[in-house]
Amino acid sequence: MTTRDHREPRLPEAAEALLDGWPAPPRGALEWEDVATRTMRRVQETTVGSTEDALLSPPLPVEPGDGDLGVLLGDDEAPELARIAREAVEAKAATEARDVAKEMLAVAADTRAHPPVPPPSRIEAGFSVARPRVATPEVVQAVHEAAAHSEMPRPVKSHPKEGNRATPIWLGAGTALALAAAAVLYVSTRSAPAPVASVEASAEAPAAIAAAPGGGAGSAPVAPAAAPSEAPKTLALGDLAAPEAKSAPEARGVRPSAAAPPGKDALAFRVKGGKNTEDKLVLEERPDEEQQVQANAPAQVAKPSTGAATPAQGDVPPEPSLGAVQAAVGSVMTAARSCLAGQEGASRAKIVFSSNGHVLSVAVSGPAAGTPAEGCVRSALMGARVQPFSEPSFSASITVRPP
Amino acid sequence: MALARVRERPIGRPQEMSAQESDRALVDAARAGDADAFGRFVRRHQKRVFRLAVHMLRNAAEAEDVAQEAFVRAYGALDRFDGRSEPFTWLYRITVNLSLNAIRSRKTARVAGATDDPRIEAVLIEKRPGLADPARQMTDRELAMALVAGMDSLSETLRTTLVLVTIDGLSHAEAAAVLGCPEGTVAWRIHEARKKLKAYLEERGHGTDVTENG
Repeated sequence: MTTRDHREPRLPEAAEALLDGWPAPPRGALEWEDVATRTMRRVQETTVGSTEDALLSPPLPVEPGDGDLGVLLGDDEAPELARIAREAVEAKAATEARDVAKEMLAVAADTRAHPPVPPPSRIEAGFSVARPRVATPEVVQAVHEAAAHSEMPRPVKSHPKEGNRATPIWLGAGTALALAAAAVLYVSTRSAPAPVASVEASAEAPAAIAAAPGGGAGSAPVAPAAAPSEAPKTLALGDLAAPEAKSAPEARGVRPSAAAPPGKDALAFRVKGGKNTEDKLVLEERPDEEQQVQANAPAQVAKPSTGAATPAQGDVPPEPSLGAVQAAVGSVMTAARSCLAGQEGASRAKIVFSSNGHVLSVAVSGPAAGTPAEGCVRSALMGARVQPFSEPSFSASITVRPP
Repeated sequence: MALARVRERPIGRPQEMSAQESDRALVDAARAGDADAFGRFVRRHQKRVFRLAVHMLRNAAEAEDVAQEAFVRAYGALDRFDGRSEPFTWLYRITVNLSLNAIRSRKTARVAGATDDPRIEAVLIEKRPGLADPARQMTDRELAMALVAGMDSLSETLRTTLVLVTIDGLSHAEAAAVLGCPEGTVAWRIHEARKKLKAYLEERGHGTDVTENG
């Protein structure tokens, strides 16, 4: 018989009676025999090994919320557990953003103390900087977001050693200094040719941020706001929750990581979760045509240097915060990974968020593409949500690995 | 209460059937080239596979095609049946995949009407045989229609899981084997499907039991 949980919602008895063993349209024995005969006739024409593997794969996409067993734990405590889990995730995101802001404070201080820009190939204190650093609008934006998020309410206090009393002062100072750091970084490096900055999560590489490939600090100036139309902005997230792996100083190239991946523009963080330390979460924004037009507009050109990096009007930021995107993707990553059970290789997925925070589209590439797992991964990732933002869209490219 | 009487399932569950010749033995024999063994496997499971396909597709003709195709494809994949799961869960997975493929290949979303939905006639014939009370028949029909509409309003994932567990009587473990997901996920889906179905019925006036006096 059916394994019923006593806490399952109970339908009216009449409906339960209908559901239990709901029959197929009736047929007589001769009719069934005829069907079996016809089936066997076809079977005999079939060769073993002719069925495609896709038919043997798990069939269904993941339902949003799949695996949330909290609701089954008890009639009353379940919602509470779910709420606690959500708050923990939110608190982590807020804490991570706060940590970034804190690091940017260090960047600001360091920048004041050491204004000169190190040469592109400079090796300092055992750390390597592969390329000249560039403070792109993206970096400015990241700095600003960090500052903005440092003011987010924190449902769970994660840093007891930091007293509440000092928090408002710290936040105010952090915001101001972070903005100053952004401005200094931008002014000092505005001549870099390709405003591409990436932050990649890497289990091995504690931290490093470098800059675009190509020309040095003296290269041709680049219009800050026009840059995004030339090259997609790429921000990659790691686990911002590991303070020892944080990279604010490295972000300005003063203390780059020895383990920074060569040949990559990267600000690397330790990946959270630890289960799969090779997980990478790469966020990249690809402005569409409309964005490019806007980016070329004079008002937008002044973005980095005129404080345009401040959040949009009201409470809506220009883009979802790093922590928010990380939390959103992380909340559905388990479900997405479960779709790849049985597969060996990792697949990539590009998630496009609309300005209301919902997922507009998910494009899956790699081994999962074209298999039932593609729909499963897509369905799982469609459940990600971030806070609303003012830009038309925001995309995040992620790597989904089999569990 | 209306329709509260317990009835026997018209189609026995595989493991409740004669154990003289297990599914595994039949499949092993078929892999060894015994076509008759696979024929016995077909006859054992064709009703259940057809019922599953009817509930997935809501169309008897399509369901018959899919049921037949499921056995053909299962035979074609005998070389990949590794024995880690029961043969019928493996067959069910193929049936669900074929049904979903059929649904997705439809050019337009098919909405079965009350007059041609094979599920409604089946349940009214099978579950209320011999009842001549027109008022009761009307009530039962309305409830059946509301139920199928409610099930159809569920997502593919929830509906399929509900069909496997609640209608077909699979355990959560068996459904999990069919769907390739953890048992807990099946439990959650059933919980969610029942919750939505209950809300759907309540919105349409079928939320409470009708008690019979005398």
